[in-house]
Amino acid sequence: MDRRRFLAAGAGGFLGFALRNGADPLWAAERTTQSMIVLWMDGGPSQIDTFDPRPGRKTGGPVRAIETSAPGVRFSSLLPRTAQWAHRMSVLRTVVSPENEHERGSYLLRTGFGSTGRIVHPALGSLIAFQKGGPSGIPPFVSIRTSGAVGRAGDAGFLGSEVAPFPVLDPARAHDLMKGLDGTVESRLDLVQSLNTEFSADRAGEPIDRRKAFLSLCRKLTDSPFARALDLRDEKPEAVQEYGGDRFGMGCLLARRLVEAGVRFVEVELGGWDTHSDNYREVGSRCAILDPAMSALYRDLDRRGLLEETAIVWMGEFGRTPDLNPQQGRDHWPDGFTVVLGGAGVGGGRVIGELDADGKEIRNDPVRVPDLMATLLTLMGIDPNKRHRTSSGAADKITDQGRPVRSALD
Amino acid sequence: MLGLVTLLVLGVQAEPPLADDTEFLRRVSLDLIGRVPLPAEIRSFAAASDPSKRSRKIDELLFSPEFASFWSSRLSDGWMGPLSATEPAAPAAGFRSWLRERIQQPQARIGDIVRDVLTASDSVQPRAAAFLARFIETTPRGTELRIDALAGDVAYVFLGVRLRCAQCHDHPVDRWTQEDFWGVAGFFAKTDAHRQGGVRDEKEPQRYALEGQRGKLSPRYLDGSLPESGAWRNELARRIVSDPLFSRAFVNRVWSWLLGAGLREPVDRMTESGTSTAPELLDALAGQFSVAGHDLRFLVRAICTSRAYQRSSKGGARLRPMTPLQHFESVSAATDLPRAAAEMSDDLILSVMGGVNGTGEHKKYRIFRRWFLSAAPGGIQQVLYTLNRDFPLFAGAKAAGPGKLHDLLRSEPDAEVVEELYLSTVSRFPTEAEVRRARDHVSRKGSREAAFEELFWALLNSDEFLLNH
Repeated sequence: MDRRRFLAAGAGGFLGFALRNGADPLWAAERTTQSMIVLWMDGGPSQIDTFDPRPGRKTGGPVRAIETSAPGVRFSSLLPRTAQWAHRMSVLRTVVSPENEHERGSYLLRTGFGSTGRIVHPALGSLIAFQKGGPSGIPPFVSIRTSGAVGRAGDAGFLGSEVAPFPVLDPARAHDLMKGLDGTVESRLDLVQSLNTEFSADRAGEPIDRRKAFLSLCRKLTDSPFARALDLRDEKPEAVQEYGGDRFGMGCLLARRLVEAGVRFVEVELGGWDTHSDNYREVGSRCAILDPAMSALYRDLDRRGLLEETAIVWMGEFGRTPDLNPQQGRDHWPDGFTVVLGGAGVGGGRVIGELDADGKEIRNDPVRVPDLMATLLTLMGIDPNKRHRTSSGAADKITDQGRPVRSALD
Repeated sequence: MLGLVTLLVLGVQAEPPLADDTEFLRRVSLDLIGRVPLPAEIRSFAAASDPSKRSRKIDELLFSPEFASFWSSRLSDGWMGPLSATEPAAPAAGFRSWLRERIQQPQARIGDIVRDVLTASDSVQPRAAAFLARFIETTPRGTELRIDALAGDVAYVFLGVRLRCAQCHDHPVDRWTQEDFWGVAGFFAKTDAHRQGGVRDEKEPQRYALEGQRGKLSPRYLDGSLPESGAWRNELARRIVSDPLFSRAFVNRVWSWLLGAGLREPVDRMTESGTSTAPELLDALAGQFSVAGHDLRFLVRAICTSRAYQRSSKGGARLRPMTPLQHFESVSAATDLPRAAAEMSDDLILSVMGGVNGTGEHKKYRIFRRWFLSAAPGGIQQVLYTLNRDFPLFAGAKAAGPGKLHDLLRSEPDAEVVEELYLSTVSRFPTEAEVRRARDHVSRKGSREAAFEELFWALLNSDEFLLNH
């Protein structure tokens, strides 16, 4: 197993500049979690039809509950393979958010802060990349998403471009992103360098130094473990099949390869969860994609010993209403929905929080979104009470007064 | 004006060499219209013998449509924050086009523009209302305008002070009190917001009850003055634009855009302790800007005609990385990108940008432009865009047309091609040694097409191109 990345970790940003905030070594020493993969369920997934089934109740509909690998923990029958990994998961069933609308909900769940005005908060991936750093020449944050552009929610915000996500749209063609950075790049860069030497002979300044670092990164990238990890063409067809063979599955497979190459944070998006009509058919088709991919990700990471250092998070911007609407759909539901943590550092086979029998009223342990963020940061060995500098110079806390849910952690 | 010129020279420590004509033209084009000059523009400027050609050029640029377009983006980024590629574009784009129309007018009075921004509503200057509409929140409790965040933002953007720090307690290092903060917020207390994202005209007594501030909010400006009429937002706007802080903050920001650093740093903390380069210069310039009716062109002209601005970068003028917009527009101008975009490979666009809806050169060009501008400068995405020679950015720099290089190779001998490539990118004539080296490169390479493609690419990736110097 290739663990060279951890020797390099913390040495600087991927561009080779010292990060303004290094990880606090004392805190980091407590945890071994090195990477995180977030499976982002865009649109807001139904909790009842996935990880919080309500068999026999009207709100539960036709979906059955099945036993899992963890005694007493039951999942929906739409996720039979994923259920085999429940012993490595903590299921948070009572996450609450004030945001009932997609854009604002995504912003809150991706950053841990409400969206107001001009400040753009960094996405969790950027935050972790910024705090933990990573090996030089490896982008710390990769976002595998179906829509092209990186939105306001999900970007580096005021933390700046070094920790901005590297976007991959089509995992099967991620190698195209490196096309044109082939063997000829060396000689072309030599030409640039000779032009620069003359220009910088009688000029100086920080921008020139940054450009130098930038060009040396480019030389590294062309033949880096990162570039190789992006190329799925050398995967065996069986491996692709194991993950389901579709775009999301390929994304999960790519996530595993990237984590192996030293990427700190990867998110993989699966859309289509906004099931306002015909809920059961829609959720059924989503789960048919999710189940093989998510279970393969656990299995593959475990087989390679990487599940001991990689955390996996399943979440979306909110959940769905327990009651069906007249179109047989479920609407937005931020008042008690499910987020699943798993893998490294996570307590296995646990359920945190309980709702009433219909899945409507929270009985105990509500988890606010800032608490969820604090939990994820703690999982990565980052003190959630830490402050960091914003672009306006103010020192802000990295979570909105979040307190980690200790019972979900190992 | 004479006094001002003297003061502008004061801003410089020593008497440095001035930029030569081509260096000056490049800098002022990037700063005023957001792109490098075209070869024809350089040739005619270099050839002109008129001693006042620099100030004439400044005026020509100031009154071009490109000035309005570039400065409306710049101001809109400063006031509203940068556009992202996925955000619902309509309100922000509407704000931009409104601002562009205002700056296009011969007198672009910043004070009037800001007053209209602060008093806009659904029925009055509705496109400008996008500024306020960013503070509308819809929560399960209902739709409301977050006047606390809004007040903090208004003070930050237009006055250069961090009033928000005084929201919960008196400011720790500045003079502002909690009363100051809530006094400014109070001017918005009658402003209503509705679900569709609009701001309505004044409503009846405010219903806002903020945590820790249960009483009624009453407007009171930072100088202690109270509104004299019921039109509270008008009252606030009038006070802000006549506040000396307003002129100082704006002048300082424009100075920092044009020279790489403000006369006071940091530019967003004008009343806290910081470093001042030439306090008397900032005072004088702010005073004159105010007397000139906050005319944007007056201010930009005053700075660009100064010796401080016209220093050579060899003499220590600050190097500035191009902004993404300057970068894109410059590559675009240098390579004829819009024309080349028609031939962009759909295939590549698919894997990079996720898809192209519709066809046509402008459609593709616009998609790529928006995508490029949303990438963080200096980040990994930019590495890919600027180094990957197969990327859409270099569509016009390919020997196999259409685009700048293709046309040149067909019609010009080698020495002319070299000159044209240097003029298009680094905005100066190549030296004899550079021409010789380029020709050597061509003969070594064997393929004329491949050699020039490489040279063009290298110039577009050189520090001399990518920095504003």
